[in-house]
Amino acid sequence: MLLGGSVGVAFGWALQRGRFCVNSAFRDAVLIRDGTLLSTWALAVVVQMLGLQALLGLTGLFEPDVPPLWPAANALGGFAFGVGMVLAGGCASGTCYRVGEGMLGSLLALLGFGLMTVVVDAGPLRPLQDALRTPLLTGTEQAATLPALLGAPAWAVGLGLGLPLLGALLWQAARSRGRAPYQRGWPWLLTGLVLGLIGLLAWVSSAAAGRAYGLSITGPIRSWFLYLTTGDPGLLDWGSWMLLGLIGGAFLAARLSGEAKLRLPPPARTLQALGGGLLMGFGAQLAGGCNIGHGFTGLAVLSLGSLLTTAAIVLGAWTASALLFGGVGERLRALRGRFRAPEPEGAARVPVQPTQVPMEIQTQTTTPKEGS
Amino acid sequence: MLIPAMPTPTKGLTRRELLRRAAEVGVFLGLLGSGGYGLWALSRPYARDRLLPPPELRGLLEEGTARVLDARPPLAYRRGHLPRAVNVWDLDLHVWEDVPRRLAPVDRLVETMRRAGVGHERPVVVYDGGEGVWAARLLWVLDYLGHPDVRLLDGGLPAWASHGGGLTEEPPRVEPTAFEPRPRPEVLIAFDELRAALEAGDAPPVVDARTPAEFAEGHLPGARLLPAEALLGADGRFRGAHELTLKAKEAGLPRASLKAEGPEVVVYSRTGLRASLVYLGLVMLGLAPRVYDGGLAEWRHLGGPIERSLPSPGQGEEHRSTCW
Repeated sequence: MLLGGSVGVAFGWALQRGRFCVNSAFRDAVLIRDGTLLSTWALAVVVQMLGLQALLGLTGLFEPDVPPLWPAANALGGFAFGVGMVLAGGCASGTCYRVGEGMLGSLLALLGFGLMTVVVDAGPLRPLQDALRTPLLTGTEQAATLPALLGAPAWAVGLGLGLPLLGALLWQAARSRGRAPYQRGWPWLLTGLVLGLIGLLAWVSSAAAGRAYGLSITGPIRSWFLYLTTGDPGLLDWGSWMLLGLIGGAFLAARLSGEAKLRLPPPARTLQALGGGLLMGFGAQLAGGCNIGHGFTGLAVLSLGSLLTTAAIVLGAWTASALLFGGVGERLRALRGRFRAPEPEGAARVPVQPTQVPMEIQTQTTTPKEGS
Repeated sequence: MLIPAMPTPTKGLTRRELLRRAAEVGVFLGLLGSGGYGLWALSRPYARDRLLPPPELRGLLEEGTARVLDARPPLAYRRGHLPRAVNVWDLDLHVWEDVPRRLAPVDRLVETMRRAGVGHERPVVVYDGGEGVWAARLLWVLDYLGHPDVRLLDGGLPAWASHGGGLTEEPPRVEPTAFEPRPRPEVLIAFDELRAALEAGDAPPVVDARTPAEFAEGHLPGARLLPAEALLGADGRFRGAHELTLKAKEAGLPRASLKAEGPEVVVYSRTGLRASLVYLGLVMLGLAPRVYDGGLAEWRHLGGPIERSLPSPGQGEEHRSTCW
């Protein structure tokens, strides 16, 4: 409980200070062509992966749990999750840290998320989950990971993939500005490094508590909702306490930075957040994880299921952001008379690179002006 | 390190900023503490390590001082075994009277060990085909006979093969030894003693080493479940000391203290084979397990009371999460 809680507090703190949200990352990439948050994500994954593969390769301290490859469930669930998080205005980690900040829309999304994990895992949609979760490449000696597929040792694949990527990110860091244009808090390089370190230590701490997996959000949400409805205390584990710590840590960080405040989005937005949360819960439970369980931790063990799910999340988020923000953004910009001629190459849905972020659509990510 | 890279003058910090930095340091220390505890716990050694890691076997074989015993069936042994290994099979150690697989009389066991060239002065290494139970049973028999230094090849032959170890078909030349037993009855418990202790209510904790399904069909009164298969990882090697401690704790077993004598525990399975594997695991944790050798087969045969209850929720079964 203490083990999970203390990692959770650090995780929540770092998420809040780094404004780490995969949904914001896509929105920024599509809408304002800013890859800062995407780089943060990549850096955190790479740091965690390099650390974990080195640790396990050198010491064999524990045997990591590897999410299996369920092609249909991973792809469909990931896509649904991706669409859902755009509607909800935050990915799993983003929603949780915003709950700590006092965003009631995110709280509603989180409740919807939790409800759907139980509906899919233990409720009427269980047959769907069973039907779609046909494993591929399991039953063989090794888990379905990229190294197993390539027949190479895990540490070699980890280093081979991770080092070039790390180099590219650091090279980019040297030329980029430190933060997303609207963002305050930690610069992305620090956020990425710290999140990677937290991810790594989470593996170790969690394994010591008898749970051989790192950070995750869907599993712990499900465990809380199942625990609260069935009363079986065996459902609560390291991850459950980590999740509580996360929200507490995000609250602490926001509070001490003067960014914690109860906020309610406009009614339509509130409903949209709930719908998005339900869709996220459905997708994440089906796929077996969210942008953290798969898109962060699962990638560190090079699980094929996590790679597929992450790709599906990216696709879903991209599609939804382009439809939602692309269209909305265009109208907003037209209203402001800032419309410029569409750029000829690429990005058909995003004809304009605005000079400024339209604040109206960012109610969920912008922070209140300090001292105002 | 965690201080934001914003250029902030050292003096003139607001109270809130100071508080934030203090909290930041606290959070960071908590994280390091949690990870550090994990590293420490996971690398904790067994209280009494009785395992031989496959890489160490090579050196031991070159030294040639250890007596290596192969606990697999003779047919498998003849197809290939470790260099200079002697075959000691199930049938050399047990008799089938009334109940299956009862420990053979001591003189027969001693005769088997003499022919296998086992002596008190020579360390013994036992191995099997990766199942663990056969080698663990042989180890338990040697413990019973009082051999001071018996170790089990962790993971058996598959682990040896995955470390590039080879096998031979060459039969070993064995000089029979004058093995004198020093029986240790404290690793064993008989039906009468166990039943009397259970009825009197002063029995040590009783561990069932079978599967959760077998457990649910009927077990000794008050038994706790600790399936033998839960002690080994997917690669057939023993789980680490920390993981084993968690399993024992989950089964409600007492913790081993630093005293020389660990708390007593009784272990049984159907015939005593799987109980021997759990015996080894608990010995390594510093406990003092006693194998009820007759197992549930004898218990039923002699009309001991049977209890039917499900293992406590989640106990014994691997917690396979449905999502992460």
